[in-house]
Amino acid sequence: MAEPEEAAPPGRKISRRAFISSGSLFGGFLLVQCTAGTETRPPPQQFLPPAPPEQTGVPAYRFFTASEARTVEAITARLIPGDESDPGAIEAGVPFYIDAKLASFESFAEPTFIQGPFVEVVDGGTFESTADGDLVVPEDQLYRYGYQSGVTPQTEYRDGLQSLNDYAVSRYGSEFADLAAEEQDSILEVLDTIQQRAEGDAEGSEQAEEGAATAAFGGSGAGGFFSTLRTDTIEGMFSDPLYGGNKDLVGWTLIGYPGPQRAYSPQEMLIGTRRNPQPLDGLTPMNPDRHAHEVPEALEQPRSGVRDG
Amino acid sequence: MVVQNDPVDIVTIGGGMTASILAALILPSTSHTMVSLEQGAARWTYPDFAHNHDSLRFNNRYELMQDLNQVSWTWRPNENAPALPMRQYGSFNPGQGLGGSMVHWTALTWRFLPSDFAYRTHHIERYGADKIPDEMTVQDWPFSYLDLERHYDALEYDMGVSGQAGNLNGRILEGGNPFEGPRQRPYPNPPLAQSAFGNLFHEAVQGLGLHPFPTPSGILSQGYTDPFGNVRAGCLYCGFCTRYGCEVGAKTSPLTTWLPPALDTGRYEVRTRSHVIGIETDDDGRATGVRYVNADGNEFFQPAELVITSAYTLENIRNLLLSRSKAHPDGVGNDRGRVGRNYTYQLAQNPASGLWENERFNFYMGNGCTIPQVFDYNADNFDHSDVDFIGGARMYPSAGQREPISSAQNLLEGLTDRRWGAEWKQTLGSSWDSVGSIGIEGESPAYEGNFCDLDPRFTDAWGLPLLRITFDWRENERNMYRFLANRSEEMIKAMGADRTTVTRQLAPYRYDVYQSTHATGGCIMGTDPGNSVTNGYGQVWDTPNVFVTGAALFPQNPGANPSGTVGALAYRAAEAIRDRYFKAPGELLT
Repeated sequence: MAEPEEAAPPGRKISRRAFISSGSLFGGFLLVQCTAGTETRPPPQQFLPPAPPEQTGVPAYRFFTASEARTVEAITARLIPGDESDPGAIEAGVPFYIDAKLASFESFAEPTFIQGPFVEVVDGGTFESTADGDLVVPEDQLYRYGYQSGVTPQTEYRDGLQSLNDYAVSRYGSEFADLAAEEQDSILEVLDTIQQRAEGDAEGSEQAEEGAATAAFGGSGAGGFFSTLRTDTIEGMFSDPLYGGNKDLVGWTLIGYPGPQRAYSPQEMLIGTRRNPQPLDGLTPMNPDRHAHEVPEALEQPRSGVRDG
Repeated sequence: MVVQNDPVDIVTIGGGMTASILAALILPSTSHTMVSLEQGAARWTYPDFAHNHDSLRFNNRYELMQDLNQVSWTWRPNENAPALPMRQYGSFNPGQGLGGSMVHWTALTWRFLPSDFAYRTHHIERYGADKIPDEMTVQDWPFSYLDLERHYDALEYDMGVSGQAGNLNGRILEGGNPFEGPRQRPYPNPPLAQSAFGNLFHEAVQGLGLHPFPTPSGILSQGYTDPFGNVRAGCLYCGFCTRYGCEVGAKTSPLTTWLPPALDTGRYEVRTRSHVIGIETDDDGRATGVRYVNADGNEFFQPAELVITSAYTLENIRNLLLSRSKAHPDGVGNDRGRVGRNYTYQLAQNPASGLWENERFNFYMGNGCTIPQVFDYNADNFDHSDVDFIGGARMYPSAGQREPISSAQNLLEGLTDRRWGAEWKQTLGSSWDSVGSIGIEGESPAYEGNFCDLDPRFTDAWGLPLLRITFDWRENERNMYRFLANRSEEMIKAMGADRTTVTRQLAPYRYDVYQSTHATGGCIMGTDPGNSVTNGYGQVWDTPNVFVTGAALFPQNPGANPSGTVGALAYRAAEAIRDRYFKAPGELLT
């Protein structure tokens, strides 16, 4: 995490949740200024689901190191705990989902405006007191703007997993994966509280452990990392198995969701349905290609008069 | 090297709802030529929407939305705060591609209320001038509900809207919306099927003395052949509606309705993946056409007699502001500094949620319109004498189309101790289909301090300044929200929830959480150039051969979705352009 490049103006304390210059951001790969017509949005096909190696039948990690994977497995196992009889994140393959997402996209899986400049965050103060600054936001207002750090998911995970373990060692003397479940939960609770406090939602005053965790993360967003972990865990639990998680539809089975279906009747809307859950590739093709020449006239098909400029 | 295209009569910036309406209404009975420039790609019901039930891709990764990699909009809560770009999708989701946002819309199709059109006058007459806060810049529309009624009527029949009339030529009908303005005909199709949760709401609020009625929807409840001759299928209640294209064409969009008759003339062309970078004007300040860049990065100039900016609200504002010249140094339409003024939004929240143990509501079926609505607390349908605000909201129960990923994120807020872990998982497992809420879609009045201009710092992929939004809620909205949260609580309790949670205060506006794509105002209609950017037809006062369409024209935003009125305004403009404009091009219509 880069430190601020410029000294703070007198009387203002720069938060360690650092401001990043756009130059130092993409050391790992080239992000060029988009030119007109650059197709920047990754096509969905770019997503590479984990492929099981032939010998073991177990997917291999493509982004995480073995030690990172161990930490991710331990975290997701606490976020959505489970066992064989009541599957959770591990049984659903969530760590492989997260790994595939990170391996598939050098930057973001979703469209993201990544051009600088990036904001500087300060502890304390108000918009009025920081109004003379260039791009300065008081820390307690940052949440209202959403993602602004410029850090890519790959970096956030690499650095965040390291910081999480640093914090676990400083607090309990062992890495996160080697702690008892209660200790792991305590750590995740601290991170969650930091995130909620950043959004003005935490109860009570800040606890010492929140400061310790924030310090361990070097100000680079302990709360934000928790938020990313939780979001990605939920995605892996409940997205189509095509993406590497929700193995055997355990996520959908948990909540009673039958997966994508073509249609429901008005009666089913009132009394429910008895369909078995099915993944996307179980969906009956709407218009099998063999019938492409006999598509019902009610379906609008390409017409002349529309073309790329 | 800019390529000069052959001139056309009409060019539109954007190939969405209003562009296709103008083409379908103007071209068939005239000899005009028209081109629409659409920044996104072409897509059609078949084959493009045949395999689209992938919620991760469409709902959570915004497949159909404007490409944030290239263009965004900055926001700040007030003029002291720095403006930062929306780096990932949050507050609103403008679409791109052939058909625009109307391809992914939820399809609620409202008429605004008579009092919405006479907003300022109505409130002053009933409550006195002091009722309107000083900073509020709300004003009347330049015409009345009755002036727009026949356009609403034509739009509803072309779209095949499903609904139940509440006011037929002044006669109040049981089961419809008793607060609506008079309509000349019933809806062309009966209401959509109602959901289990919708029925529960319906009975409960009737018991509270309110007047629930089915949502008027641009989704067909049955097969329909429209006045253009398009043959269309009814809704399959599949549960993949908002943020998806409809694979059977039951959800009305330009693809199902206006593009076929427009393209059939042979005098309409939509150029996709063409990004407009400005309106050109001559020394006299008259528009000459638009510049655009195609997918290969080549630049073109498209000359036209008439230029129409028909994109999303924020793009329309920005198109005018970016078009700076000697004749219009601050942008087209901005000679009097009115562009960007009266920017408004939509107070869309879910104040009360409940959990019904051992009940399942099948929320993942249906669509966003398979529910009733109440208008008893909308607009001035209730007496505001003893409350400390003006305005209101439509109120409604959770609709269908629940999607597992995004719903799991926050469905249990306030109902479990922790947002993760064993208890959260267990509750989600037992109650994912048992938690519902009351939603409000409230008015957003205009204020002097809420406006849009060009950002001094951030630029898009073409090096052009982003639009900067300055916006936050005010005391009036906070008071209105508190009142509506209490009403929501009454409703959720009347519905017999076992556990309830109520959010009693309106939090400050935040940019990172989806609320509504109803960004409105900024190029508003009015009676003269001192109070507006355009006249009642969307014709720009200072550059009369430029028109603006869409919700950017709204002087302030009522408590209902904009598309029905966006459509009716486009019908009104299309008729004026077709029948009168070309007799004296460039003259202001009266």
